[in-house]
Amino acid sequence: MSTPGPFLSRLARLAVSLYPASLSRGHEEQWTASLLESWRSERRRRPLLYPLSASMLLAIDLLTGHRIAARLRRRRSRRSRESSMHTLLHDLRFTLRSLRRRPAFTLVAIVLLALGLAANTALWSVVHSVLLRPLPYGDPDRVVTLWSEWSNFDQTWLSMGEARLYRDRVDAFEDFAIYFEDSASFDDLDRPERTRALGASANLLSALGVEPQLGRGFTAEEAEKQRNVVILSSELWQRRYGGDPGLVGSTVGIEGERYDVVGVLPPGLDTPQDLARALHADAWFPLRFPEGTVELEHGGGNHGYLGVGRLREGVTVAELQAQLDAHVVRLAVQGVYPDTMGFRVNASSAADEVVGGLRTALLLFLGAVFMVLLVAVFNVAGLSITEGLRRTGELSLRRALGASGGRLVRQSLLEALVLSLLASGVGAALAAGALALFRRFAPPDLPRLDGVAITPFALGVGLLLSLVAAVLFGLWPALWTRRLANPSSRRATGGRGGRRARTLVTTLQVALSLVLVIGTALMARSLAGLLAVDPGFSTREAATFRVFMPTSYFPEAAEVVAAYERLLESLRSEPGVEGAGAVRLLPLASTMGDFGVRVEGYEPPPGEHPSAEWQSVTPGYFDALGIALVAGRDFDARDRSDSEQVVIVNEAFVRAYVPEGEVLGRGVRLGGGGEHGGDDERGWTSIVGVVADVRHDTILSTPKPTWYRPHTQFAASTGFVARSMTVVARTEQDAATLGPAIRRAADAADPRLAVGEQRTLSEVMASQVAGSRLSTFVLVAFAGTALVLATLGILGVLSHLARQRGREIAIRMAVGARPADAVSLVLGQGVRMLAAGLLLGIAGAIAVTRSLSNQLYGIDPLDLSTFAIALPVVALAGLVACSIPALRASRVQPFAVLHEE
Amino acid sequence: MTPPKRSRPASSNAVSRTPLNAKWFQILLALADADRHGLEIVREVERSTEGAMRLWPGALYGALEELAANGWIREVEPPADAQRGGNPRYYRITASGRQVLAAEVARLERLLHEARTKIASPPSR
Repeated sequence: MSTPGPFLSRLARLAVSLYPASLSRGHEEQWTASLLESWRSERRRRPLLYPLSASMLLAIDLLTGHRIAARLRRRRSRRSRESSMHTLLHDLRFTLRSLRRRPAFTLVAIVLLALGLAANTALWSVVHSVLLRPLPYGDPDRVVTLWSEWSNFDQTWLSMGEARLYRDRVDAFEDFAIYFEDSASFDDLDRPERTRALGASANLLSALGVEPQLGRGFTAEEAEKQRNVVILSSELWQRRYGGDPGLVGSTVGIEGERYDVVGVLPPGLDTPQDLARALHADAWFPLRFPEGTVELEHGGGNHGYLGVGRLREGVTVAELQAQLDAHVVRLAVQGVYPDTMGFRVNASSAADEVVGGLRTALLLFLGAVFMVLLVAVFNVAGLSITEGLRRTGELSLRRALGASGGRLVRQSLLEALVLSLLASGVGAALAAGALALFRRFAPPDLPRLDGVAITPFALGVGLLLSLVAAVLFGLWPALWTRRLANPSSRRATGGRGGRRARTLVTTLQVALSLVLVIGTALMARSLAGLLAVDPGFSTREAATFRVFMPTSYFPEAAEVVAAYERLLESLRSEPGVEGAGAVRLLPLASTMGDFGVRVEGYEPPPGEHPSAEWQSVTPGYFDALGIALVAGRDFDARDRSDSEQVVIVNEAFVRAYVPEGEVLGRGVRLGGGGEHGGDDERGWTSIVGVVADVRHDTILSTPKPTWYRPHTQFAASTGFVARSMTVVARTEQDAATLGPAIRRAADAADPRLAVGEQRTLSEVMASQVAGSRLSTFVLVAFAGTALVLATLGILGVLSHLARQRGREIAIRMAVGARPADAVSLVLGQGVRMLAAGLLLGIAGAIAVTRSLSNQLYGIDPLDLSTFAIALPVVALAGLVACSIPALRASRVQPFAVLHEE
Repeated sequence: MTPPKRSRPASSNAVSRTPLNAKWFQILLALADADRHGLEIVREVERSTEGAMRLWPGALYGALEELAANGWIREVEPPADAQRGGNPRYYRITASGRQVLAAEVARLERLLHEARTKIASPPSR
């Protein structure tokens, strides 16, 4: 083998350098040798052409080499992806092992996070079920409700004449339907059952965009001729008739007559107004809603209907409202609505109607519950920072042994992720429990409550939040763990950074807790205020129930009156019953309209139309409900239908219409405009008594002027007898036990009578404050949790700090410092942290509590005294947390500590 | 009921790699009877193919890398009697390399047998 000339050798080395370095690196010598041999071999084979052919072969081989190198690169990168997967699995196993080795940390972290996540998942379930779930209508965004507004009445009904105008003259409506609230007593099957019902115009179903589950809706002819037809709710059909599909086309018995069942509604279908108040109607009867429009009389006519409209495609509620406003202005100009009436008609989307009132409260809760989660996350972050500090040695060692900084961060994140996912699992289970509690304690009139359940959406939100939490409490410790574990950084630096991080975390916890405690204190004081409101009647033990006397059993007014007398007589003779009476509409259980009045000697200013709420009561009602008689007398057996026409008024009535002079004996004529009260002479009644004011619609309603007529004489004023009344039976025993007595009393009037709405008076009262009570209850739970977490946070960080500075303290004490110095050293640190947190919390509370304002009754969201109460509560909890490690520091045995070191 | 799983024949993996790239076949064949370093492989291939296949360095070392990556050959310590100098890398065929080689040889045998049969029997008209 001849040695190649220097020129060829250099050329070969140059050629080798053109090959991919990944193949030839480190072996250039052999490559050069191999190349030269190939070169020589080619020269042997083609002595003449070899420079050309060898160059070509070299070029081909260069390409081959590069192609192979690329192929190998691709293969390696695939392999390294697989191997990084492998590393991840390894890290996961490592994480699980490491968590198992620290059961206390793991358990505490999971419990803290699970609590926070459970509260969030549960609340998001409520929000999803109540706010976000679409209403059960076709194209629900196009369904709207209409309400009238008058000065002094924010939300009242529509009149038939107005409804016909809206239907035919307001262009934004594709359809407009009306209904009124009614009731029905089913008396077939030997089981009388009283239910809520609607009188619905034939187009109500189509306005809602709903098809019956079975059968059909009403025809225009059935509505026009007022046939005995009924549509049943799915619930009544199931409950009472066992879901028999053959019921459609056959008849049911209602109040002594037979009604053809033409259809069954889909399950859970109610009008928006009913959904908003969690009411349910089990039967729909046809309501006449004549075609064409009529001239409106002064004031628009009798207002007693609820309106549901369907917007034309693409029309907004705002556009509808603009058209309605223009329409009302036109009518006002024609003199239908004088300016003094302050008439307006308001449209709102069905969604706003149903859940508009809840939105603020739920969003508020969401805010609060998120704060709880943040506090929990901060706590876990604090814990893992402490853990990181404790494991500095281990981490530095692993770093030194070649674990990359990235890998340590990844492991820290992975640990957070594993903890979060475990916690979100536990949290979902806890959330299911929390929801069960919520359903149990929520006010019964909360809209759409029955649909509240853990939803996949809420689970998703919970999972997402857990991931956010993982990043929050995983990344932060991880980032400075990395710095800490960096062998080049000094240990002390890392320690200080960690302490700063923990101090910040704890400060934020204190701040969030303070915000929650202040919010809760505001709600609690508002609730206390609500509970302290005097409704105007006593809330002692009493049972209430509602009875309806149908025309088919009692055609004449006198028979109705006699039946109620029999019923009350029977009730009063029951042992334990101390008094009983009946009223047309029970306060705090119904809403009341008003009625025009004229009062002797009272000249209303021009444009004012005196009106009063109107009641029909039996003797004994004021006594049974504990409404104080201020002057004159109660109704009694003297007040027959043919005796002197008498009336009792409330104090608000006297203030408004009898500002001076003798009240008793004064004449009052009901039906101010003359259209209700009959002719002038017959309409007049005489005031025989004055009773205390009663809050009627809600516990917060201002009492309005009210007149009470004896049941026996009511028909003389209104033209009809009150067939439906609520009976109140006062008792010394538990009112809930009066059930059998109530049934016996109903039997005494007529065994076919159905009894409905059976409740104790305290239940009636409780329903008024249930919403506020729930809010307070929920917030107390949240704030309590946050406060405990924050206290633990302070305790943890200070204990750690005291331990860390134990050596310093020991040295100081060894050279003569007193235990008090050690206490003040630790305490000082804690108090600084606490003070910063409290300041931050006050600022936060000022920013946040404003959104509470319409949830609060009788208290300002920036109420100073509440802030003054909440501050020491949090401060005290913080100080307790500070003092434990401080005291421990004072008991340091200097030599023991130094010896340990 | 799931049918019982049949275990795959051990050589199936090797069979699935055939027909083998001609260069890989020659390199495996060159290593079949002895460990060799790069230049020895080149010379052995050139000899056994009667000069028809000449491996240039890119093709040679590239193929060796790929065969090693496949797990069919591996680098070994130079034998004790090897001449030092140039620090040459020695390669040895592995068990799976042998399987692949055997599978390829079997395939070629079948091919050869078919070819012989065809040549021996004249076309029928």
